[in-house]
Amino acid sequence: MGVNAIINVNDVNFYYGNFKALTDIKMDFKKNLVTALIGPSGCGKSTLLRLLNRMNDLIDGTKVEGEILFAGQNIYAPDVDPVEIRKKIGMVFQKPNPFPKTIYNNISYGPKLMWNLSKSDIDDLVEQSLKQAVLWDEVKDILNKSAMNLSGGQQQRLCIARALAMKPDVLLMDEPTSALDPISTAKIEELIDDLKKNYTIIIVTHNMQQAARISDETAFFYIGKLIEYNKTGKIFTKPDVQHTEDYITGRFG
Amino acid sequence: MEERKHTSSHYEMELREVKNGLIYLGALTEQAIQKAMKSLLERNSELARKVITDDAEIDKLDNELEDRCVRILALRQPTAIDLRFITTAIKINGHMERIGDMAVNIAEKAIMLNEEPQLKPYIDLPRMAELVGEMIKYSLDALVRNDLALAEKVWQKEQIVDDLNEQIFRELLTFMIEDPKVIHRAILIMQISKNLERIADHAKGVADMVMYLVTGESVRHQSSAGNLKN
Repeated sequence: MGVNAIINVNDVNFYYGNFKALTDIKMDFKKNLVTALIGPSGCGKSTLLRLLNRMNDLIDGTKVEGEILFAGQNIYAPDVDPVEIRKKIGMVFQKPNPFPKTIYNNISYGPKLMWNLSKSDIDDLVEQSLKQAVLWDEVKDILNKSAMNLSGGQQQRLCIARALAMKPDVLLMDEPTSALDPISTAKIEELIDDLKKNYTIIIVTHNMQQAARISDETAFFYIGKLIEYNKTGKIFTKPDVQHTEDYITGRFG
Repeated sequence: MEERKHTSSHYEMELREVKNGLIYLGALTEQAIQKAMKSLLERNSELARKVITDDAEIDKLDNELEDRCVRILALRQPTAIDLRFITTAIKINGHMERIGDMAVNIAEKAIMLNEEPQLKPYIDLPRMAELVGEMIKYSLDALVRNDLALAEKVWQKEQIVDDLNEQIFRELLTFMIEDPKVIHRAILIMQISKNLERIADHAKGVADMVMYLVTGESVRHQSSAGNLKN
């Protein structure tokens, strides 16, 4: 286990019913880095991402073998409450999914449920989270308008702000820009770069150039196996494994 | 590695066109050197003038190849082996174009030398020309086959060319000391020798890029002489 690792995946197998979606996955995610998970559809990268905050618990007939340690604790141990895990390991999805509420309430909803906060504490948290997500200047005068009126890119940054309001350590992102235009995508990428100072970010992306641009380390998956896990600069210039090279250069039969 | 084709056949074709273009460019520069040297050895200024005008073709191909590489960078965003190939191709292209210019320099000096009586029999210069021709050929073959052994041969030959160049300088120096009237011709011959030596450097540059292409490690700015002496 590396000293800087915040999540350790130890010999994990994962099944959807009889289908084995992940085989013998062993990898550490390092603190304050952006790690990209890449690979063709069905390679298991999103499955692994969802395993990291127990989102797959919600799917019937799934089974996990092995252990996933977060800050040294096995998140699949019987006494662990998945809700507690999801507080520390937040998630942002492919399509922006704001609550059909005001912008303010989108951010304050979780913290209000979780902590006993004064009105001014919540105001501060809303402002701080929106600032962190670089959305504050665009919405500070319309906090009581519905989040549904925001553009797709703004909605996605709102979802990131909503995740940040829960004070997580890790942010999981499942193709966070695939539904966004290039300008919104650039804003999110810029944001990811800012956020890694304080958070560990793990991102699934089909956009290889995006993985190359924003991540420090990249893991390439194929048919449920981790093929290569390396520094991003290495993966995109001289990967160690031929299979990785074939995939990222578009030579995949 | 060569057999693994891109899913996009257009992309595959674009990369192939760059490679073929480099090989063609290499052939043109090799010919230019041969002709320039022939114009000197056979005192044929007509041929020398042809080398000078034909350089336009090399320059045109250089521009075309560079445009192709830039297009691929912009439109395909190559990675890994393809990225290394395109960046390598841009540099090799530059080396080849400079080699073409050196051949022109040699042709220009040949025209001047052909107007005066021959100073001495040319023995080392043709030997040098033959070596640099081989270096260009080997470096391009190394590129085509991703062959590091061939790239190493290029480095070895570069040392021999350097030594010949020094030898020619020393020899001509004695000529000049003995008879100041030969200085003009001796300097022209020295310049030809220097141009051949520079061509060898460019061929070595191509071999260095092949090394980078295959291994991902840069070997530029490392003295090949140092490698050979141990």
